[in-house]
Amino acid sequence: MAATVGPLPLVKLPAGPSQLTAEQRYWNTFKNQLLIPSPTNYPVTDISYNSDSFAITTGTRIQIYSNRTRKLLKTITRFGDVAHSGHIRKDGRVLVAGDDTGKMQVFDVNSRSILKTWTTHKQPVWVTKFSPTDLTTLLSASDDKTVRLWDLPSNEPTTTFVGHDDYVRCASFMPGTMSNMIVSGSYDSTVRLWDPRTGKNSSVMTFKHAAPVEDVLSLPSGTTMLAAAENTVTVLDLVAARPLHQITNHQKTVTSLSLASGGRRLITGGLEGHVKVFETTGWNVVYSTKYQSPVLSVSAIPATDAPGADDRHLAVGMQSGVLSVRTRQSGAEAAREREREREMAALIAGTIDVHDSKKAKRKRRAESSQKLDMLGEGADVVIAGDSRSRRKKERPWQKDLRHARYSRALDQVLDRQAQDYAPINVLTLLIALRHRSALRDALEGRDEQTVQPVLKWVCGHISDPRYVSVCVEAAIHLIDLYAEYVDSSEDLHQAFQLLHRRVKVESEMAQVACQTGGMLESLTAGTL
Amino acid sequence: MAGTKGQKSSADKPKKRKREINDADSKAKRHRRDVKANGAASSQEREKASNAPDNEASGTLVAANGDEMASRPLGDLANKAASETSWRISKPMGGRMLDIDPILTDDEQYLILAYNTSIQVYTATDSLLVRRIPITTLDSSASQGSKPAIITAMRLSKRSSEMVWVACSDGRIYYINWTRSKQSLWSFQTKSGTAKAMVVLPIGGPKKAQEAVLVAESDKSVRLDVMAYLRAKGQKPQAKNLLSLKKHGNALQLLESTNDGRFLVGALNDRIFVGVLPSESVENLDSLQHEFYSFDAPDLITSLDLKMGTHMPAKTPNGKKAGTIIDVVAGGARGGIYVYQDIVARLLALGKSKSDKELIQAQKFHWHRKAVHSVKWSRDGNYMISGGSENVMVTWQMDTGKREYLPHLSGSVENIVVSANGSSYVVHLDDNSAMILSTSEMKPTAYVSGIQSATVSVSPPKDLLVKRVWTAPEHVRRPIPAAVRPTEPSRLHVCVGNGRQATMTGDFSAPLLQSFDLETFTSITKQPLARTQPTDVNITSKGVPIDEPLITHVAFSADGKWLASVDNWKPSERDVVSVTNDVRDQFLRERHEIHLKFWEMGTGDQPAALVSRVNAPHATTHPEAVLDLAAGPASSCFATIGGDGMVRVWRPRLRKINGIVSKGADGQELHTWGCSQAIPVGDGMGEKAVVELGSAQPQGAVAFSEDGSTIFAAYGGIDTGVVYVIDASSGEVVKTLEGLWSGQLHSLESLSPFLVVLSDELRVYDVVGDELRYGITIPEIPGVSELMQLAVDRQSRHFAVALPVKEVSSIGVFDPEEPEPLLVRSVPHRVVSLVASPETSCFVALDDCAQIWIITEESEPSALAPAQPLEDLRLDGPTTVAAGTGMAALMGEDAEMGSDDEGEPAAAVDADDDDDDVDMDDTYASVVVPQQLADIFDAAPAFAGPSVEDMFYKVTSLLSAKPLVSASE
Repeated sequence: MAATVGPLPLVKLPAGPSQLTAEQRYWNTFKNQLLIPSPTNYPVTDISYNSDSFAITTGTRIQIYSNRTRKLLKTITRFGDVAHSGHIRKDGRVLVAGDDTGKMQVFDVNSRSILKTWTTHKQPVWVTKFSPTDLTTLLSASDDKTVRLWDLPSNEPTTTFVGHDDYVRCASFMPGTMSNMIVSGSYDSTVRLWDPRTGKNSSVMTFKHAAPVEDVLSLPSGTTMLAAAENTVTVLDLVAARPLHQITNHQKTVTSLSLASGGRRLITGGLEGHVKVFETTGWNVVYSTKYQSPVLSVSAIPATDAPGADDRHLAVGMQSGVLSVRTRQSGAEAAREREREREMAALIAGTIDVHDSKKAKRKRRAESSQKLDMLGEGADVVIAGDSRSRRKKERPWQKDLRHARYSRALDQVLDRQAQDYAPINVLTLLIALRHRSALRDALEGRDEQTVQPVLKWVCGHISDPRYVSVCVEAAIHLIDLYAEYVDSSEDLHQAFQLLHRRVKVESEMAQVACQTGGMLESLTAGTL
Repeated sequence: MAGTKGQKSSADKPKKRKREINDADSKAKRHRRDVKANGAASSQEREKASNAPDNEASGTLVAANGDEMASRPLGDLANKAASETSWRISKPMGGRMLDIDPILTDDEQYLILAYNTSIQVYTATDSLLVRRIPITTLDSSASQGSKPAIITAMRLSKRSSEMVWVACSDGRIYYINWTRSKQSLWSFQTKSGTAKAMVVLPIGGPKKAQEAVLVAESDKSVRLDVMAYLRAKGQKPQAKNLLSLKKHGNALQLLESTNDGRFLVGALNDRIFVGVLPSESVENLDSLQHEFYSFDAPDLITSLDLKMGTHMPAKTPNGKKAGTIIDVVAGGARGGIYVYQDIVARLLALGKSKSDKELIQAQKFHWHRKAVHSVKWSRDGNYMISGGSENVMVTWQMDTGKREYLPHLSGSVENIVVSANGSSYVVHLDDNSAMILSTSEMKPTAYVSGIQSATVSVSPPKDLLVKRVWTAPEHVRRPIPAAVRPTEPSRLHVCVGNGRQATMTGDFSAPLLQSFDLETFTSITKQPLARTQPTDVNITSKGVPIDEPLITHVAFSADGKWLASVDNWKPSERDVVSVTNDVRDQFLRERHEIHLKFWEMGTGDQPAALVSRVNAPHATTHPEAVLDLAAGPASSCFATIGGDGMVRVWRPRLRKINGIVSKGADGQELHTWGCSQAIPVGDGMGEKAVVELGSAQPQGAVAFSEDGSTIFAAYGGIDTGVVYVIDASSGEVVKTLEGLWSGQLHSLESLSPFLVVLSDELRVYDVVGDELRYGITIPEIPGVSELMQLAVDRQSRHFAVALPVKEVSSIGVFDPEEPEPLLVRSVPHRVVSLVASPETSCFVALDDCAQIWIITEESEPSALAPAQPLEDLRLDGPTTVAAGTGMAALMGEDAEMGSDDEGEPAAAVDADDDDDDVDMDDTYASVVVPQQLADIFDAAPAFAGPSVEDMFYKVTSLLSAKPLVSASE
């Protein structure tokens, strides 16, 4: 029956168009960009990874980097011509690559020696991949319009799929239990699904596209597939055998597709240099970033092999031969990093003692709270849902406002040294004062010194469209109250002059905006 | 019926469109008909010229299809409809608690509250209404224009705790047994025909116990007579004038006495008088001979209390009064509390010289900003308790002067009563609520609340006895938004403020929504829909009350899931004095805060959750007022019309972030509301329309057709009368209907295929047939036309109109086919809110005394639910007790008997305990603890409780043996 005292709710300003979403914040945490120029100046055409390393293909080289340190571990250079699709097996022991001469080679990653060479393809081999489930099964796709399946020990392909009418530039195994099936995309604008078990060597499903297919990718479910053809990415439903959706967010050809966040996000890279992240239910762009050169390959490299593992690196290979690796630090790592930086800063500033004592104090407190936790385990009665602790505390200025000490509340909230100083707090208070007809009361009765913070704040925020209404009101009161003392005080004079300048600039800008609006109106009127 | 009509109207849509193409043609037709109608009317006019004062207006307003139906003032129709029986209006329920000390019975079982025209008895244990005893209540059958007398004082009888004395403003004094509902009231009239205050004195010894009523009468505010009346059987009461007093002023008359009646204290304006009875016992009226002393207080007195102390044996000049000390406390209109200690002795000392002009010095306590509404001594005399418009109850420790506060009450404190044993306070707040607080914990043990909407002031507020910078309007000047949720037809949602004073002072402010259950007649919740600061200081440094936003419209969506509200706040002109004159208007307009809010209704009593807030839903260069809000009948959608000449349609959509639907805490999909269509109406279309209207305030109303396919929007300045017909799906204005309203537009409703428009005339227009069915001129009532209201009931296909006529209102129920009203009744108060209850065909009217009237069709079975309380609450019929309605009373009367019964069986069980514990259940299954019975009978008030059959089975299950299955376990 008696109302409870609660804190004054903060003013909710209209959300601006550029507010960061959670997704954007997540992708922005991929920091520490490492730009690795290719020693061959060839574009970076392919990125493959396993749990502790990733391999990139650039020109006649394949470079293997450490997943953990991002350092170069190995370089394989034994190619006669430009290499393609250096694919590292998931155990990290062997690597397969094709090249422009049509040769396919399997390397031992440790010794870099050639374990196997196939020369069955006579045209450049663009795709070579290990099966995700079977260690000895590989596929290859070549400009000779064929897709082949290989067994590591044998010399001849186990199956040769014929059906494409043009170069086959992308292929991959289906995921999970469907991994004996293959999907491939070709420059004859088709995506074909192959099943070696039919024994007919012809495709079991064909999707016709409008343009040459640059990349194909299957979602982890295995029932949905993505195909990039020119600047669109088509979402294909394998069960219903029909396209579900077309993603047309890229301006130029989409060259590469990759899954991220455990298969819940799609990353695409295009020739216009954009890398975009899509969510996989409505296929909306959730994040987009631009690279300096056309993007040829993208990959999100997870931290571990476990399904649904966090993304660790975002690797992007570009036409210019530069590989960009951005890395996201996990929580513990980031904390360690911050601590290290702080310590270094303290060392440089010469306040390492203070820093150390603070650290020790924090440690002690953590230990004591841990002890308390241990004690708490044996409690007989646990009081659940203690709502009191959750209630927000009323700030001192809010209490002053409630008790009609308006001037004091304003002083407190304007104190820039205060821990919780925020312009939105000041705005909230000023609007609350307006609601209580108390703005003038709060501004009245100040002297040369105490009026300064108010004037300063008004000057600082009068140009913000969200603050302008209340700033104008406060300024009118200030002028009315203190204009007569301007002559006798230098500070006041300066502050009012600054205010005058700010308002002048704003009004000029408004005038220009009005003129522009008028011009546009006449233009649109002409077109009607 | 509704369905077929809907189809019909949609089938007619192509036809309508066609008509739009050759609009000019149809216009011409309409014009022609108007001319013809005018011709028909003119003959009528001549006949009616004598009793139709506004010939001009009625000339244009005629029934278009019938020659025999002519325009006539609504008042004429009242007599004709008197014989109609199919519709009826209930007796009033609820009301406004008055500024009269509530009575808490000595056993603290019952709380008796005084309302405008009745007294109501509540149980103090569970805050439920036991009975309502109408005293001067008028129902709708009373002769038109009569105003009931208002209760001015209420005292418990000193001789019998079952009786109360009630004084009314017309000078009638009633002697009432509050434990019985139906009775013949014994009453007499005071000599002067007025009664301002009253006390009751016991007279006579133990053998011939009688009591005298002392009434403060005053026919002029400068004069006060204290008259004593002695009740005598079967004849006029003996009367005796005890005191006549004159004092210039315009304030209150107060009268208080000690329990034994030996000491009296009263006040007239700023003069306090004290009466002392020299003899210990008074046998008859003649020996009732008080000695009076009077003196001037430093302020106008607004409240008084006195206490009798006996402990200090003092030497007084008059030996008879040795050992009694009378301490008087008086609250002033300027906030001071004045304590006169041992006033009798001091007066006696002073009285020797007979110079009552000399001021008696008082001890002054000052904390209250405005008038002290109530001040009382605690029972032990160590504390005094005061309250005022700060919404704080203050406890003063007399020895130290220390104050303790009970702050943030929901309204200003009107009355404080200390219970007989001092263990609880009864606090009456001005938001039409009263509660019983335990003095030890300051926690409420009972709470009684009526409808808290704005009401007319019965007496001048105590705060306004001295000149203030603000004034409170005497009347409610605008309709109070109210709505009934379709899924809960028994609940009325009314917009209320933080107490009456906060609501009425300054600009009207009402930021809260009260939901009120009509079946149990209790307040369920009160939820803020707009900004409100009940915990903040509610007055500016200049002494002006702080205005809070006013909710101007509320509406529920058809599925009852959503609530839309519009609130409105503008800064006071006093705050912008430093702005130069020419931009002041603009400055204020730009700072006008208008919000449209969408709320998701919770299940049960959970509060509604804010889903979306739209700042300035209609805006040009500055926020424009929202003129009307309507809920779509089919889907979740609302339409608003604003001062910018736009009709906006609002719909919910799933809240998505990056295309992913946001889910709430329990996994339900979240929604957000946005404008889906903006349709410019008015001649200038959009912004320019405002310019053209110039100074005239734009008026507008909006309504959906019953199938939701069409939106009707009326928009314009004074005297345009245009209604736009908008296709809801395409958002195009398919047709404009002209001349449908004139003057001030009040309401527009659709009752397919009819359109009902209430302005200075009532017009019913057939949209499909494109013709005016009938029109009725509303007699001109200056000043109160804002309160004209219209509600349509789509279930029974009727509509109701409420018209304020001076201090009273008439309510008419119409059939859109027939210009003769089905029912016209007069309500002795102004109706401030009229809503139709969906699902059950009835109308609910709320008047400015917070009373509810329900208008139902007699043959409608579904209407019974909300009408049930109006079956006189079943509280004042002889059958009610038998039917179990007065069960609480029944239980109360039987309380002693019950407790006797309880003792015996319990003892029997104890005796048997020694033998066999196991057998106990079976052998003494018929032992019923009274508590269990009470649980069944007191679970709900009788009118809301389960059926008699259910109760019977519950009781028998208590008495009968347990079933075998459970026994074998």
